[in-house]
Amino acid sequence: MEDVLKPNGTVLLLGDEAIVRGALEAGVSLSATYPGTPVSEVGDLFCKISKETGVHFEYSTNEKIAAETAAGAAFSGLRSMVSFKHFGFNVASDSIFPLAYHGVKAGMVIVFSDDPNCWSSGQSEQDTRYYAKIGHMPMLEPSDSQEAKDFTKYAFDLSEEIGIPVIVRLTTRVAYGRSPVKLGKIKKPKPIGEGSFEKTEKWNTMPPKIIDRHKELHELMNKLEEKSEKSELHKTIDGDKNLGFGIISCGASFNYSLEARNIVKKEIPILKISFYPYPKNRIKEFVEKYNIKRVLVVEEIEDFLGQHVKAVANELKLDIEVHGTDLIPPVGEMRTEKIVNAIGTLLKIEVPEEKKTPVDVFKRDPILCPGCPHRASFWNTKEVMGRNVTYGGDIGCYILGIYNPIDMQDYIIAMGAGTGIAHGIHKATGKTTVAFMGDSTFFHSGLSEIANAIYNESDMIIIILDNGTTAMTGQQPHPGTGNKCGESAPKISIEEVCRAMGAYVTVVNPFDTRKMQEVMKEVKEKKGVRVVISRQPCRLMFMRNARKNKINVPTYYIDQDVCKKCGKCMEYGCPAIHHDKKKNVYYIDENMCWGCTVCSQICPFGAIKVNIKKSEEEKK
Amino acid sequence: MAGKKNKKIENEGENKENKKVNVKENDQFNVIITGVGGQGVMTLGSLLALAGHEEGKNVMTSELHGLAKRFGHTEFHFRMGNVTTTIVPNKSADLIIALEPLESLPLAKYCDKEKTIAYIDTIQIKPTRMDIEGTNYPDIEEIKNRLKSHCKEVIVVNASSEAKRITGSSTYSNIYILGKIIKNKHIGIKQSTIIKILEEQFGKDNINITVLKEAMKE
Repeated sequence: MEDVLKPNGTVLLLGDEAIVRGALEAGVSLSATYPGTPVSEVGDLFCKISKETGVHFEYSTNEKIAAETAAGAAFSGLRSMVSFKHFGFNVASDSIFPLAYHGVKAGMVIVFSDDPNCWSSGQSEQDTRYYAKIGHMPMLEPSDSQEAKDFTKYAFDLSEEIGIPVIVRLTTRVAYGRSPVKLGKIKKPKPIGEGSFEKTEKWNTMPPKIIDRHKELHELMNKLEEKSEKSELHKTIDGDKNLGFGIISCGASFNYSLEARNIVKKEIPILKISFYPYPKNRIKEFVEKYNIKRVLVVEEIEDFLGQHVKAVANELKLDIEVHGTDLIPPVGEMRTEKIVNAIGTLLKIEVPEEKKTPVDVFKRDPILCPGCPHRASFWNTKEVMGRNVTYGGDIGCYILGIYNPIDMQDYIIAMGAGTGIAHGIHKATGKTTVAFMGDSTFFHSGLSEIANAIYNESDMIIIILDNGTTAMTGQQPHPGTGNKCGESAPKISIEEVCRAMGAYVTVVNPFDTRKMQEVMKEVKEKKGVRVVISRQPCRLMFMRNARKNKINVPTYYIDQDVCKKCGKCMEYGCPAIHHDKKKNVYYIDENMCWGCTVCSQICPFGAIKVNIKKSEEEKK
Repeated sequence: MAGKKNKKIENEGENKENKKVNVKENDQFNVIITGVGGQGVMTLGSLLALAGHEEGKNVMTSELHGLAKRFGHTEFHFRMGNVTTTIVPNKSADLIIALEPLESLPLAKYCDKEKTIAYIDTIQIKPTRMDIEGTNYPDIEEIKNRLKSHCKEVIVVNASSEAKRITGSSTYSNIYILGKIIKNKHIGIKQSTIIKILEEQFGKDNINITVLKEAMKE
């Protein structure tokens, strides 16, 4: 049995898993998501336990639709959850902002995770907490798995009580931190299909009524502030009144603050804030009780809480200095050492010197897997189109194509944006552009991007890297895969959709380099919107299946007698191919080779050969 | 949260076989496992986490998923005892487990000359960027010496080749290296607990247990 389904006891859970448990204890009926690290595991776990628990789970085609699906369920009286990463909140925001105005009947919880330090998100180090303010919605911020579970459960009750959705904010280290969770009782969900949508005048969101509702929302937020003042979700860590110093913190930063307090060996009082709208009097009481003259606000990314503390100090005329981003820059991830240093500065005490990683340490960047079909698609495109073309990047594993020697993602902005920007570049420069797009991205937002390019008469080649899965976030299915959570599902053909929209469409296998390059030459000569669907399964998925089914995938080696040491194989950028500079030997690391065959096609001298032994074993 | 600070490590009395290890009441034990994404860093980390929890210890861990893992530098932080965060602070690692030698070096900031024991496997996974930049993979002795200047002890184990000898695949290097660590009493977790978790996950007499026992033999 999954730990998350145990009836009672204390289990070790990831923050993401704890979110799922909290939802189960609240009797959630429906959960929807579009996968995004660091909250992909919320959806994946729901997918796994959906049948057992009776919770209806869906991978939606994008975050906006996931939010709408959850909202529809909540309108109809079923408790629902939507989860996505911070960028997903941007996509969903169009539908989420009106939700507070509109209201929900059953509890609806929105879970997202920010990603300080951009561990699994490029493009921006976004602090998504500001959405709670613009959206007029309460937001709870857990710091570990126990709180992730407890806060989620509470969020459902609160949402139902106030009639608007409640947000739960995670950050990477909470989502991917494991800690013990004392379980509560799982509540049987209201069965799916038994909800009912009742037409009501209350849900008319047209002006001028909506202006009245805006006023009501501000009043509601004021009431929630009073609730927040009394909330048990905030915590105070008792400390020394003689220090004249205290820390106000939230989320994972609170845990680091505790650790920093132990390291500097000072009984620093700490106030942990967990409930937005933030309280004012709690801060005043904290300051007065501990005789605080200087306060350090510790939080991840922007000074969202810090600005509040400054406002409170001003409004309630507290005689305190508020520090935060002046000592800990609002950039990157919180670390205990950053807090230790800030405390050292403010208390003028000696603190342990921060040990840094020696600068000359080699940093290993992530790289496309050996045998990754994206690498082959990049190679074939580059061979034909050359380097003087603008290559539009998009969101998926293929963003790793930005690194040398591939270097074929000239800009990366957001899901689907590779194509939209390629269109703008075409209009501005008059040149043909190339844009890459993943199969999951195609269904997420690519469809409307391609429709726009065709309608506005663009001139571009869109290469759809179809590896049959949402690979980067952990190989989730999408409408082009024909399955959902292990069951068969309607399969939508990418080529038929593109043809119906009026694009010139061709489908190729990137591992057949000669054929794909012929196709690229052919589409290069054409005009208008051309779609090349480069289809080959994700190699990671392929290898996992091969191992499961005990299929031996033959590896390749470089025949040293044939190798002319031209170095062309190195240009391919496969992590299995190496060059020993001292001995001037090119070789393939057999442990790393996943047998895609492409390097053997690239070698101009036929020096890359299959390991016959393995190949024969496979035949047997 | 205040309660967590004084959380006691249960089962301490019966943990006789680990007396040498510096896990004691109100103390902490910090492990960082590193390697290249796909090598089994997360698998080993989860195994230790479940085993620590099984023994009634307060366990906190941290890992990364998704893109961060694709054949790049990977870390799993595993903490036991009186801890409040999932990330090991500077100079606080008791044990470093590097499934790939080069990946051990970025962990220098977590190491303490007074206490850190580091285990490194000898398998070399050459980063593509080294090929692009035309540099060679450093000698294992050089890596060992560099790490040694930050650690109390560095132990080199041919885990991948031994795992390959036993099972035909180097995949089990993580279990082999764990076997050596338990044998040398460098971690406060019992062999029996590890075996119990492995049985729960992979069934009785699975290949992981064979590798673990083999590593503990010599």
